[in-house]
Amino acid sequence: MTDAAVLAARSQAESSAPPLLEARHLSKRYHFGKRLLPGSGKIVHAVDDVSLAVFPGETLGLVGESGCGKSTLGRCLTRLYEISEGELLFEGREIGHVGARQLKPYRRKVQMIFQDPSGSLNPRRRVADILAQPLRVHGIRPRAEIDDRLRELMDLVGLPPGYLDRYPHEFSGGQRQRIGIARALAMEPQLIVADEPVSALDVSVQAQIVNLFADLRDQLALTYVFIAHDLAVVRQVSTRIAVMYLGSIVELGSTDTVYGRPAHPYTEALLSAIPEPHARQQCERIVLQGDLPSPISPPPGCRFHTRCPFADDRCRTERPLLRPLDDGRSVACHYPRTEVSRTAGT
Amino acid sequence: MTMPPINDPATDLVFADGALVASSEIREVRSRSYMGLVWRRFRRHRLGLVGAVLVALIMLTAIFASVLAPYDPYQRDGKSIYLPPQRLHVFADDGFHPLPFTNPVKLDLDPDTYELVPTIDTATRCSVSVFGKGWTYSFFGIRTDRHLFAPAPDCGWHVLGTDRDGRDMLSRLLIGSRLTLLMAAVVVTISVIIGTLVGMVSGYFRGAVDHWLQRIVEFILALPELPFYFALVVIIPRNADPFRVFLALVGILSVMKWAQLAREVRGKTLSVASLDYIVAAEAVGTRTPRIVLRHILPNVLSHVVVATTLMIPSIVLLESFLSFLGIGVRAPLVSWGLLLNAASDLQNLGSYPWVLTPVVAILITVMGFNMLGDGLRDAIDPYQN
Repeated sequence: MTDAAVLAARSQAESSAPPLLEARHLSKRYHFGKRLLPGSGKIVHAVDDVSLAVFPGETLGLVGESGCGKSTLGRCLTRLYEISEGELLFEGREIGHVGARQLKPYRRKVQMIFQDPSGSLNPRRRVADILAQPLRVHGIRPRAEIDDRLRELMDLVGLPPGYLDRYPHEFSGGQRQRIGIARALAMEPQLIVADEPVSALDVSVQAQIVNLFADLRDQLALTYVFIAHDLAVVRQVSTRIAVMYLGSIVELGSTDTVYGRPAHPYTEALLSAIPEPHARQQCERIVLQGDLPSPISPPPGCRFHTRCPFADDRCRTERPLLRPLDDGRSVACHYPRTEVSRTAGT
Repeated sequence: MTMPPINDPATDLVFADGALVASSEIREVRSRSYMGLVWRRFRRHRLGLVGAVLVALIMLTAIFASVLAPYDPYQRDGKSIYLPPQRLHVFADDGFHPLPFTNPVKLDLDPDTYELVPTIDTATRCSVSVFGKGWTYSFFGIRTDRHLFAPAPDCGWHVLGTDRDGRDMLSRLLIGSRLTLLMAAVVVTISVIIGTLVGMVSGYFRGAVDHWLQRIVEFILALPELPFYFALVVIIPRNADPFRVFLALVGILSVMKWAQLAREVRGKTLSVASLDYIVAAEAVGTRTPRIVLRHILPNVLSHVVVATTLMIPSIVLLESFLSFLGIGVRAPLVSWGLLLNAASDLQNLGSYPWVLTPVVAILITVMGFNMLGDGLRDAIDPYQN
């Protein structure tokens, strides 16, 4: 089943290789509130019909404001959350709805890095225990070799092997994040989903961690899904960008295309918010009106129409699907900015 | 210098995320384990330390109660009914006596009021021998009759007086501590195990399991305690074996007491389970029992330990309260509450106030455990600065 949206999700991939991980019409809904009577609960559409493809070797940046569902999507991709609807394929194999046993090989190949490095490390366990856990669970190495592997991992993330005997609270934020990365690397994964891995860190440390990500990608041939709200960081690390708004992807394309000429009004507004260091490059800042609508009752038609300065009646009734444009990117908008400006120019 | 060098801002600079900063100075810093950190913080808590010492002393006293008790706590003596506490002396006309002695007390009938008036016979001395022979008891399977203080026969050495049957109050108090503390220990152990298990299962699996377990917890918490105890104890026949009654009481209290802890543990589990390191363990593919036992249990246990130390005094109080009312431990067993039952007669209380000494024992025990619990509560989460 490769419909238009799925094809659009694959747009502008660097390689023609088959996608490593592919989400097809993936949705994640939460029920909340008291459900004493059937049907009386409320439903949150955290991720709503997302199609996405991640190709080997690329870094897919996932951006959007807080509450847009990017973390939820990340955790669906790693199967930490159950998927409500849709398919998830890893190397062409469906893994979205399989049980824990069939999931185990997938767990080895896809790992996650968390935002808060202090929350993601058990304070009761030494670094050695934290790093050895994945190795023991999967029995990847014989016991005798675990020690060597731990030292190797510490070396990989730039920490002295002598720190293995320490507890997480003895480290700085950046060092803890390095431990988190080492744990993710322990099982030699192919894909790493990094959920805001640097946003809890100091700016100076952020740069070091971002560089570490880049080094590791080259060294170990990793593929990343890099979730962040810091657009500057995403631009630096990503080869491709997916912009999310209220649970859906609104624009998807190579970093240069999307950052160079955003096609979706939301992307445009988002990018105009990046502070520019040089005054002459400062373009006009687009300030969106209103707040993010509630994902409990998303607006009909285009999700963005309540805040879009260009919305018309069609946007209010008909929901735009993700469709490819001429320049290779995909966008979910009836009136993409690039086309508007082109027609305005002629 | 209270802070260890690890947390010193100066060393932290060397630690900063420059990575691979090899410094021999840093290497030598000893990593403190969880228990080490807890101990470091507990040490600074004065009241907690006092509580720990008190609790240790109380435990030792209960364990060695029969060694310490000078008299057979069950031995009635018609000649020494309601003897007042005798003062201990170490100095006499002929100098210092390392072993405290007492002067025997004689009860004489006042010809006018018909009251028994104690007169102290200062001429004779009742002495004790250290590790001398006394009443026979069995201690960890060894039958012996040696006691720390063995009073001479037929010469009273009743430091805390005697009760209405002429039994030595000190000995009864010492032996009574066993049953009171045993009951607290057993009730707390059972309810902590049930409460922790139910709480963790409820908090980790959530959903329908959580829903129904919480309804059970609510049901138990909604039972009106006192009438419930009355009703249940009334069911037990009057002539039942006292030890059986004791066991029934332990069972009832255990059933009633786990619910509150289950609720607290559930809350703690909910918050721990949402932490990223649990998610990380799941991402790695760790099996559920391992996650619960290796990651959630240790982090919930700190709360359980504190709850346990604070639950013991509440059971001690409850036991004395129920036994005082006559629905708890039954004679011939001895417990602090049962000893207080003798003080329920106001007339006796006025004439023989020393029968209230178990109150002091209960007070010290409750305070000791509470102080220890307070100290533990402050020390047990060393990662929250």
